[in-house]
Amino acid sequence: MKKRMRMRNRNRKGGFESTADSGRMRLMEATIGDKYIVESIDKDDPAILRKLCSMGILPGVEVIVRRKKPTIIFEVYHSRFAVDKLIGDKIYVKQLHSHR
Amino acid sequence: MSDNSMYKILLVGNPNVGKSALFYKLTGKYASVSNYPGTTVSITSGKMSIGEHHEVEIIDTPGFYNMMTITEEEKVTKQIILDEHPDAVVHVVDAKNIERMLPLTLQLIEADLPVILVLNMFDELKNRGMDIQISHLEHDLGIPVVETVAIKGEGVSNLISRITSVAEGRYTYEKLNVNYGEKLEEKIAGIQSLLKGEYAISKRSIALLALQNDSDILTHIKNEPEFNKIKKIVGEEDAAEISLSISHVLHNLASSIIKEHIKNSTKKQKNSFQSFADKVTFHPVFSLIIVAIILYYGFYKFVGQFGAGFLVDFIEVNIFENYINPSVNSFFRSILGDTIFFNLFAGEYGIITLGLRYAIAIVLPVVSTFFLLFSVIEDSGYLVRLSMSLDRMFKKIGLSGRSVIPLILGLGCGTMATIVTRTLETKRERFVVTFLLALTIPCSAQLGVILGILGVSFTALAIWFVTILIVFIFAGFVLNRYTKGEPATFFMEIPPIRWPKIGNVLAKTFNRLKWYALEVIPIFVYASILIWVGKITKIFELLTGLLAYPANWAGLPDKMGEIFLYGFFRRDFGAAGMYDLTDVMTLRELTVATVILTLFVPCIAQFSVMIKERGTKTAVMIFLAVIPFAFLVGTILNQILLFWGMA
Repeated sequence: MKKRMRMRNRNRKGGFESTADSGRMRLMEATIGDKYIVESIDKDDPAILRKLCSMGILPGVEVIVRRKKPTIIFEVYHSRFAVDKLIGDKIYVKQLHSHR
Repeated sequence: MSDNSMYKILLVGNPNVGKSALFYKLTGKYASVSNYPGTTVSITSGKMSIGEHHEVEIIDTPGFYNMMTITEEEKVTKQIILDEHPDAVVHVVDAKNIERMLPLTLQLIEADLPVILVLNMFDELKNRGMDIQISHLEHDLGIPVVETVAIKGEGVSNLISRITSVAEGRYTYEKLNVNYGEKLEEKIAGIQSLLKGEYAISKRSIALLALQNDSDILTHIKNEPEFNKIKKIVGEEDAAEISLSISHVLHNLASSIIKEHIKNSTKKQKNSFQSFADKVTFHPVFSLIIVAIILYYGFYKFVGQFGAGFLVDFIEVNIFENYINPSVNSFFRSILGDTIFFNLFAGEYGIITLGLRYAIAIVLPVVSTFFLLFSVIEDSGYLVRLSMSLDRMFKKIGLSGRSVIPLILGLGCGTMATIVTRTLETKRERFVVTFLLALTIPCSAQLGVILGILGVSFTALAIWFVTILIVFIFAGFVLNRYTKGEPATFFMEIPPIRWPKIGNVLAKTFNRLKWYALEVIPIFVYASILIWVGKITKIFELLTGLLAYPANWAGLPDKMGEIFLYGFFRRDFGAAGMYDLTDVMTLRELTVATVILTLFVPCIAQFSVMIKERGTKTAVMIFLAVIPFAFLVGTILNQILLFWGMA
């Protein structure tokens, strides 16, 4: 099962590189203060995935990055979260207007 | 009162939603904390009376985010749901964050549990110019929904009447259906049809959790006759993918329900204090200045000078030495004469004259002032910010910023801090922090005495501090290198900076002190008995004799052996014993001695908690590692100081 998952990741990443239209980026690369939506979440670490899911950080949700150092701080709904790079790098976002 | 009328009510929800405040409003002050059987997670429960005839047990559960559980605390909550058949499950959410928290409500509804949704902190929602149409929401969800402001007690009586009607079975739930799409629904139905047993939650819920490969549920249903078939269906799926799509459906449903019933105002209420506080506490330089201010005014001035200085002097000299000890001594002399039993209660090492005196006169004032300060910092929301700013540095020793909280609490009481390591997410992190607490963090009682002894020389104090800091970093690196397990990750919700509410701060401080008085002080009294037994059986002489050797290696007089031994029974006790030696020891000897005493084994109370929380094997291993290490550091430090020519 693990192998399958890895394969899917590779496929997805491949897809991302070939179709440059999506403007998909890591949370870390987002511009501070701009509105983004969560595009996808990496599934390679089930514990992190579950944690993000239960906090409601899911694809389609609006997110604003407030700070990147010393930890990443972002707003989702009416809450603010601090995450380290390890977790932050599991979250992919894209600019809101390009989505609509 | 018959057992039938004792309803069981479960409070669930995220941390930071005012669940504890609501709990206190419901139960009054009669809360009891107990460990859930077989785990280290503590469950608070309290009683509430409804009218004259009914009594209700309210169980406050630790943070619960999702039926799909991650932490040990969440697992316990789920276990209670599965095993104890609560008569009502009260899901408390932060009203302004309802959209994010509603998916758990939906999960609870799907599980066929008697759910009540509480929109707490409703005033904060209104302050943001928002409003929720409660009755419409109630209709759409098919469950009772109550708005409250727990801190002010608003809405609590309404909640109580709702709880009563649900617990008595007078409320008719209208089941809300969630549709996960054809493909997933097929699988759910497949598993559902294989389930034959009776469960506390709906079979649909069980199927959903099983499909996400939830280990608790799979264990829960392992006796099913068709368990292997179920496992096979589960095994065919990508659990992570399913988790994601289930969450997705739940969140979309939550958003669509909420969007209909929430009134969003475009006027944004900017709280200028909060945005200013955010700027300052997130700022790398200003946040350091705040740390310095807290250290100086909070720790040094308030805990150190006021607590450890003024209060200790007052209670110790004015109350014990002038009044209690003389009368206790003369009382026991009159009934016990000059026997060894006199020394059990009174005299130099008596339970009252020494055990209680140290506990009440020296430890209590220091710990009280520390807990008060800690509660203020905690309630202001600053502690989370501190965790956040230290996360990167802590990562270097394999810890997340979260561990800042137990480590700082350790400066107050290492015993309590060891219990608080429960809030850490991985076993590895809990172990490393427990170890560091045992080795490097001096508790407030010890700190007070050390500051008193080394306060005469800034150099000595600086040497002590730097040595402990180096040992902390070194031990952290070594533990990180050789402890198995995944490195810690950091994830925290940041509460807004708030002015701490005096009532809340006092309640928290009081609860911590109550715990301290009930859990730690008795251990100190037992320790006094042990010291008495050790003295009359001469075992102590043997042990102090043994400890004198390593003391000598570190260039210290024989007498220090005795102090180190007492240091185990009572951390403060050892340090306090050093006061008597300040005249005969040189500054170098005092510096080395305080370093060893800080590093030396934790006190007996902390050790017993270490056994409880981490298991005997781990606790003994830490204990045995710490002793030689403390003396090794002392010996090396002594050589360095001699080399430098410190007298």
